[in-house]
Amino acid sequence: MLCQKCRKNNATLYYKENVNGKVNEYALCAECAKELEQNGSIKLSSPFGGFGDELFGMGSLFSGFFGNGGLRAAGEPKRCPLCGARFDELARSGKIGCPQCYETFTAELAPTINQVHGSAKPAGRSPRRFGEKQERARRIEALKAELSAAVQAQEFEKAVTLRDQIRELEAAGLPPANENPTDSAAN
Amino acid sequence: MAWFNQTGAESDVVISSRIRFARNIAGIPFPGRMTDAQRSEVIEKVTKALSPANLETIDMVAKSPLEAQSLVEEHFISPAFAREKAPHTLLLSADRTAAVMIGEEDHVRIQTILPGLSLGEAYKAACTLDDLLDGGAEIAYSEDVGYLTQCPTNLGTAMRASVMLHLPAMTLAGQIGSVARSLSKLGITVRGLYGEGSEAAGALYQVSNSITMGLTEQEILDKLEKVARQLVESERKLRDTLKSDSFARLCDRVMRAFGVMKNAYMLSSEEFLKLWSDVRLGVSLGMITDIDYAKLGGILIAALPATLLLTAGSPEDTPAAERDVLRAKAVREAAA
Repeated sequence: MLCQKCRKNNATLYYKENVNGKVNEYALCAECAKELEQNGSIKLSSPFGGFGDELFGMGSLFSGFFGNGGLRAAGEPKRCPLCGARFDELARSGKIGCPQCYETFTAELAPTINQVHGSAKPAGRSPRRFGEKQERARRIEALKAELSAAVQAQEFEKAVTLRDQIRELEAAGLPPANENPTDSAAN
Repeated sequence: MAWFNQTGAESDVVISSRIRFARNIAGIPFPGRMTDAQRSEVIEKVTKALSPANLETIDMVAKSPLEAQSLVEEHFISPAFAREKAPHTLLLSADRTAAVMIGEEDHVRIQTILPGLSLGEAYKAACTLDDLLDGGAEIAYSEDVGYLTQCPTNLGTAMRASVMLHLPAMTLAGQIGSVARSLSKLGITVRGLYGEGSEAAGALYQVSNSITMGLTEQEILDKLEKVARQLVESERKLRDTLKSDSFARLCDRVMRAFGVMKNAYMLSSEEFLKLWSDVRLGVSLGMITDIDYAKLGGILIAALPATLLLTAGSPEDTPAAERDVLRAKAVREAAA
């Protein structure tokens, strides 16, 4: 689809605005979108819509729609197993269907998430179950460092104790990201 | 006593500080795709999880549109929550500092509001509620994108922190637009509270974080607090300049505003907000001494359309002229 403004470039951005109840939708290329944003015609940099008091309003921005939705191969479209949503439904409404959708449509949502948040990763609070997991991973890392120091120093009794502690922690939760799965399978 | 009829730190410029967390329960569709049964399940789960906080449970479906709109004016709920038709519930603390919306854009919106500049305290209060929720429900979260929210713009901390500022001198000096533009580059949004454009009615602005990813809550709060303090300093400096450069003119303006406030027989919302802002400026400069910030805060909310009609016992469709008479009466009585 061509950009509705310049009619030259491919549209990569889908912009939806609601002016006093009248909904306008545009397909724009990145260049025109940038130009319109700079002259204040559209608002891309303020993902929290709404005025004054309102809560994180619905983002009117949903890029990646044309880039991904349009390229899907023919056949039965993918649906989220939890809420049954298809990606094109999410793109049209600007709303994600359920928490599971973020897993189901990871690739499709990546351009949108990247456009809003850049490459930044989450920081700060997390639910307790994730906090415990992160804490466990940190402790395993620390024990592994101690283990390799013990091995170097040929303190084998200490090394065995440390190894058992590490195994115990690993069994209590998911292994840390850098764990080599063959290690635990070997014994 | 709520945020609006109390005062806190830097109250000459900062009206209130607010923290909001968006949270969802894993395994249940977001509100846009929830069935009524799932809504009720979420309401029950969240209410139970937060029961140790002793919040009042308000079934919003039973509220009249006027009552709901009045809660919007008091900043306890969002306009979208007031419009919601499906089951939705508000949990409100007795001291009116915490409000939890269940069934808004996300399953749960935890909100705390305190008077003055008190982001740290408001954050702490929000965390207490968040911890209770976390203990009673499995919160949707991913290590890749953070708290999972219906709108992807809120991913990450899903926290919005904001301060409401009264900036009459900066508004008069025409500085809001350029300040807002430079702050937007820092991931801080400035919006007029009432009305659009850079000259917001009542010179009331909401300054909030727009970034939710890559920073911890504390980093976001530190940045916002720093910006708020800078704005407080700029506003104070400009007020002092105004006072020393054009004392008589300014004094005339604020005293006239106070006079009209105490004597008018009809007041539109727009005129009222102008007067209110001038009077508040006059109080901060010591020109008006027989009214204080707390009282002015109470008048501000009491004069907003829905709260006004609700208090007067008048119907929602009261004609504008009649409403203006009611507003003038409420303001006159409160300012007397």
